[in-house]
Parts: sequence; C-alpha cells; structure tokens
Amino acid sequence: MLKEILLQVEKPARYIGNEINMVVKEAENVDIRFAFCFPDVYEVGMSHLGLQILYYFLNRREDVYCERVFAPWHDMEEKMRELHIPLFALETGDELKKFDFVGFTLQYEMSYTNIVNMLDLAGIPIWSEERGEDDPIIIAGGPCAYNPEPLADIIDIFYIGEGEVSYDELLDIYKENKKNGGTKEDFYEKALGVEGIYIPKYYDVEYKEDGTISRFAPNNEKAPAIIKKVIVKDMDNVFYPDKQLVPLIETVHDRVTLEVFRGCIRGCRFCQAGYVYRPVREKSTDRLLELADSLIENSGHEEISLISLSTGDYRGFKELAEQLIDKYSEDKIGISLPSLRIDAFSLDLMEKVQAVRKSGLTFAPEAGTQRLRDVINKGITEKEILDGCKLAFDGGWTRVKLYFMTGLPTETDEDLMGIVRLSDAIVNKFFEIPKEERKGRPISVTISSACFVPKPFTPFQWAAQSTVEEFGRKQRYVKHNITKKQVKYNYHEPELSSLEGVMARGDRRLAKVIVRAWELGAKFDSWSELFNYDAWLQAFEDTGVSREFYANRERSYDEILPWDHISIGVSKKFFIDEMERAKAGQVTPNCRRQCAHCGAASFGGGVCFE
Amino acid sequence: MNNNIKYRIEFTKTDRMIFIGHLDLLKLFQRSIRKAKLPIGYSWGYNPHQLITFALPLPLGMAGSGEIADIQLTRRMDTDEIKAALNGSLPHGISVLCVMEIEAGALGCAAAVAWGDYCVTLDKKYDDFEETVNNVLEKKEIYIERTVKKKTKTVDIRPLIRSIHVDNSGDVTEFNCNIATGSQGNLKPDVLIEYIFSLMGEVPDLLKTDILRGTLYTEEEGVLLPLCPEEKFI
Ligand code: SF4
Repeated sequence: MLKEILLQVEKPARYIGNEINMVVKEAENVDIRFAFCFPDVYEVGMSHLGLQILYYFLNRREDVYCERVFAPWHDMEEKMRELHIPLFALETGDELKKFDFVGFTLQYEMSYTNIVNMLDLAGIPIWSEERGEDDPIIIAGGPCAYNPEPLADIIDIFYIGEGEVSYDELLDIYKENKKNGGTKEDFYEKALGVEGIYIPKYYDVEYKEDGTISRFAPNNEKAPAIIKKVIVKDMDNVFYPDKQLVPLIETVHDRVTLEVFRGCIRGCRFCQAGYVYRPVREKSTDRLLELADSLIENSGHEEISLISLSTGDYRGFKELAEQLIDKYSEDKIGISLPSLRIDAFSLDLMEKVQAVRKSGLTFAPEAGTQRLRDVINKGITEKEILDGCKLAFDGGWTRVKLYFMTGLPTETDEDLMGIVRLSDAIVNKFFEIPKEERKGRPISVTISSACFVPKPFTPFQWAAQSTVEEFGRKQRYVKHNITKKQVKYNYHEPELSSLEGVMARGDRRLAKVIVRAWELGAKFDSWSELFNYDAWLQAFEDTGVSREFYANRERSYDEILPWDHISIGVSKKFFIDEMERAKAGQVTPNCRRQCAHCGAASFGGGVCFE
Repeated sequence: MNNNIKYRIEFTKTDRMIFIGHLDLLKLFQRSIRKAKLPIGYSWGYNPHQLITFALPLPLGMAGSGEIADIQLTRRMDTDEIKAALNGSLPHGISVLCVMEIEAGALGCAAAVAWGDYCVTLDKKYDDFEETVNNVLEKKEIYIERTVKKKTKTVDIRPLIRSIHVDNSGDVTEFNCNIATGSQGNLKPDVLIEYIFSLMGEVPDLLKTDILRGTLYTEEEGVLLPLCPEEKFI
C-alpha cells in the first residue's frame, strides 16, 4: 500500500530513510524509543546540523533507538489522511505512538503549526493535559525553546540548552522509572532535578488587567524558579559524530558539516543566536582536522562545510583553512566557507576553494547608515564594504548580495535612504575600474531586505516591532528611491515576519491561536506558496488575542517577560545596559577585544577565559 | 586517451531504493565509490566528474535485479575486492552482484544494451490473460499509437517483443517477457501491459502492478548475450 502512495507523491525518497549511515537497530531490543521530529520537510530537516549530532549522540547508547520523522508535504499528508496511515518514523516505519519520546526541534517560530499537525497525524492528543500514560512524552528543544511559553500547553518537557549535556541523565531516569513501573508523573517529578529541564505544568502564571504578567511561579516545590541553560564546556572532548547521514535526494545543504565553534563574539544587538549560545567555545584545530577526515571517509561526500555563526572569527582559521585545502583539493573535495568577512585573505581563500563557481559575494551591513549600524552594534563600516567590493571586483567577482533589515529600533527614512546610497556606491566602485579591464562584465547588486523581528534574550527584547503597514511603507520607500538599473531589491513579506514577531515574544495564551490557525488550515507557514495569512487573522479574531499586544508594543524594563524564568547566563542588567547604549549609538566591543561582563562567564569556560 | 581500466558492474535496485530516481542513483554511486576508496577516474575539464555510466535508467517505482553500470579505475584491482568495497558502502536495497573487467575498446553498456527481461506481477488474476498473450505473439505486426514530445506516431511494436511467458497458476497473474530495452529500440513494459489489457477490454492498474527488470542483454549477430555474463547461473 505504501508503494502505491509513494508513487503518487512528489519526491517519494523523502519518506523512505535508508540513507548511507542510517542507524539500524532492533526496536524490540532497546529500552527507549526516541522519535526525533523536525517540523519541516525532509530536505530542510536533513540539512540541519543539530539533527545529525543528536541522532548519533542518542544512538550511541545501546539502550536507545533514535529515529527520524519529518513533516510530510501536503500531497503525502492528503494520502495519509485518506488511507488512515499514521505519521511514521523513517527507520522502522513504525507509528509515533509506539515511541517513548517524541522530540521536536524548534528552529523557527513559524513551524509551530507543523508541530500541531504532526501530533495530529500521529493520532496523539495535541494538548499536554489530554495525553495519557500510553501516549509518548513530548519533548522539545532548540533555539525557540528559549521562549517556550507559546507551546507550554502542548509540549510536556522543554530542554533548555545543548543536547549533549543532560540527555543521558534524563534518559537514565526515564529507564529506571519505567523499570520500576512508575507513572509519567513520577518521571516528571524526578526530571525536575535535571539541569536545563523545564516542565511547564509545574508553573503557574497570572496576568494583570492590562494583559501583562503579574506573577509567574512554580507550583511544585521541586521545580526550580529559574531554569538555566546547559552548555558544553569542553568542545574537544564532547561527542561529535564521525559520520553523517547521506541523503538519497538533494537537500538544502548537501554536504558534511564541521562545527568549528559555538557562540559568537560579536554581540549584534538584534541577533538572538549571538546571545543564547554565549560564550564562544572553540574546537581545537587538531580535533577539527581529525573530524574532517573521518566525516569525509565515512560519508563519501564531495563537499565539507565549516559551520559556525562567524567562521572567520575562529582563532585558528587560517591554519585550518589552509590545511583543509592542502589535504582535500587533490581528492576533488570542495570546501565551503559560509559567513566569512570579505578581505584579501578570505577572497584568496575563496578563489582556491570555489574555483568552479565564482558565485556572488555576500555582505550583511543590516542597516543603511553608520548611525544605525552603531545602534545595532554591527561592526562593519562602509569603507570595509567598499574596500571588500573593490578587491572582489579586481578578482573577477561581479555579483554582490547585500543583506539589510528594515524596522530596526530608532530607524528613520534617512537610514532607509542609506540602503540605496550604499548600493549605489558599490555600483560606482565597479565603474571606477577602467573600461578595458571590466571586459564588458555586468555588475549586479542584489539587496535582500528582511523585516526586523525583536527576539527574547536580546537588548531589543523590549522594542516594538513595525506593523505590517509600516513595513510595507518602508519597503516601498526603498524601492521607490532605487534608480540604478544594476540594483535589484528583494524583500520579505511583512505578514510572515509580523506573525513571527507575535510568536517570538509570546506567552502561554498563544497556544490557542496556534491550534486555531492550524484548524483553519495553517501549516508550512514559512513556505510562501502555502502560507495562509487569512487563517491566522481569523485565528486571532476567533480567540480574541491581540497581535499588537505581542508584536507592536514597547515593554518597560520592569515588566515580567514571559521568558524571565529561563536563564541563558546573560544577565537582564546587561541587556538593559545594551539597550541604553543602543539608544545612545554606542558600540560595545566584541568579546575578544574587551569583555563586557555579560554574565556568561558563569559557565566557567570559553572565550571568557581565553 | 587514458590508461584507465574499465569494469562492468551488475547490481540490484530493490526494496525502498525503487523510489530514488536516476540522478539520485548516480549521486549515490559517486558517494559510495568515494566512500569505498576506489581509485575512480575523472573526466578532464573545468568541472571533472567521475567516469561512471549506466546502461539505462530504471523508471521510478520499478525494481531491478540485473542493472548495469560501467566504471573506470585508474589502476587494476581484483574484481572481488571492488565488489566487496562497494557493497560495504552502498545502502540496503542496492547490492553489487558481479564485477568484471572489460576490454578498453569494448562498447560501453549504454550503447550495448538492447534487450531486457522483465518479470511482471499483476494486481489480481486475469483468466483470459494467457490466451490474449498467445494471440499477441501470433501477430506479425502490432501498430499502436505512441505520443512522443506531443506528436502522435503509429509504430509497430511487434519487432520489439521477443517472448512473453505467462504464469497463471498462482493467486495473481504473472508473466515474464523479453522486450527491446535500449537506445536502438525500446518498449516500455507499461506500454506492453496496456496494450494486452486493451485487447481484454480493460485498463491495468499500474500502481498496483509490480515490475522487476531482470537481465539486460546486448545483441551480437542475432544472439543475445548478457551484458555482465559472469556468475549468471547462481
Ligand atoms: S562574559 Fe565577557 S567574554 Fe564572556 S561572553 Fe560575556 S562579554 Fe563575552
């Protein structure tokens, strides 16, 4: 029967597993079955490094079998619903109900409807309190878990921090409890003692008349008042897989990935990743070279990618890059170096590793004027960008991509105009090259402009987000002022960013909006062809929840924020200081230049102790 | 031209692997060859690729028990060693049955392939199936309409059929056939099944039909020779 439906859907290989390096175990012979769910399609989920790490990390235990589950594309979902086929895991094909744990990774807010949909497809009750002893335990982690509240009534357990730290302890407790015939409740109570574990039902929240939170407190004496994230201290000795799943169909990032370090020294004030992964912790060059060898050997991939938030900030970057090139160019293994700053060295490097495709160069100024770049603490100057472009043009690159955001705090039309001016300046830079040397090559500058979404655990967590209408006006303003034909302007749909803005800083009252939107047909919201804005508008109306309250309202520093019981190790005081510095246009140096005493040194490792 | 040694590989594509398409299969082989550390030869040029060619893509959903590919290695290796290395790298559902060295000047598999065995299992038992097939085989010519690139042509498919053997003894109808499979002449088994059904006044449910492509042959002076003749009778 499965064959019949697989032949009627797009890309059937999404649903068959069976990749090189898939883990095969006898499901009957393990104590714990764990379904790792990625709430998006296979090609997106398989490109995600965290999945690859956690998959092998959990499977390294003989008593655990971790399998993968992805969101079926709508064509497959239709067939599954029609024929009553419950959502299944790729490895064994078993339905999710047979698992002990169903774990979701929360990579972006707009995947929440997919989580609801996947639970429903699995025949598992959506609301935590409606699930019984026989249902799996629903656990979730990942970057969006730092504000778990919108999903607090749906997810049973949140895991706050890096998976390698507490999962062993949690699973041991589960196994022990299961063996002793304990209930779920028994397990949850014991799990409260595990670092990084947040179980929402043991906390109560009360609201003021104006809708803000008046009180948030544990209702169980074992529940910690503050849940602090757990992170790996020693990156060299922590588990890292020596192989990777090699997909049978093309995925978004089709290559083996080498994680160089976690965290980011920069402290851009809009960037949640830059704060929640603090402090920076590096792997040693020797360890990385050793891992690169085994990854390539065990996967057969033709490309290896160095991954981090800002790879050029790795202290041993030059040595690592040169050694990798030395080692692998003969075997025709490509090296991809995303997120590099453009300078003479990196251009030379790119020349070496990407000889084949002289694709575009990417800069992320994020804001159009120096003033606003100072506000957001984006340490890149116009001169640096123009010098980088000059070098690139001389080296034969002619396509430049620029990333900007609109709607940043304190932004004026002058800053928007700066986007246009900067793009023009790049085009002019190109035409400074003597005509003979340009050889008729065309230049193109593509502006990609996103809508700013204020995120928890950033200095801008108190800021108001622009409304859909304001975003629209800003985008039109930029577009209207572009006169050069070499400059192309792409912009994100503000509707989606606006909903993201609601979810990102949402509280427990949002779950009913998510579920209502799903009932009205919302899913795969981040796929523009499936995004159903009307369903969301209707859902807010039906539930009487105000979007403006969450997205477009400026908070005061003394308001209890929905995520205040979660600690990322960076203090609230630091964020307040940073917000004030932002308003004053003062930049804060990066961690290596000068420690700003954010609080993350409390983890006892990484850049704070270099 | 080059000093590469050419090898012919016979392999299966079954189970879940019937759901991956031809380009994905090519990529899978490239990665498995790399993982197996075979000294694969590369093409010259700006964007070098591995020297590997397949006889004929297998349609999505169809299984194969005797698929053929040719590869070029930069040094001579024991064929059993190549087979073991590849089988150690390929996922379940693809396994190498035999590897043989072929002469430098021999015709490549894609040019050589001309006929193929197919084993078809229908969705249920059709009582008049055998009789219908016998009628088909008695015909001297069979003209059917085929649409290629939006143009409808009438073609004679009779020369593209060498044999059909029906087995109606089980719960469902099965048949084996040997039909033209290659660049010179090609008859898709689907087309043959549809034609036979049309004579019975029915339309086949192809989604419920299992098709396994078996041995692939080349033709020399009217004689069929398996493309990878070694270890054929085990
Ligand atoms: S404590 Fe200092 S060095 Fe450590 S992460 Fe915070 S700012 Fe950076």
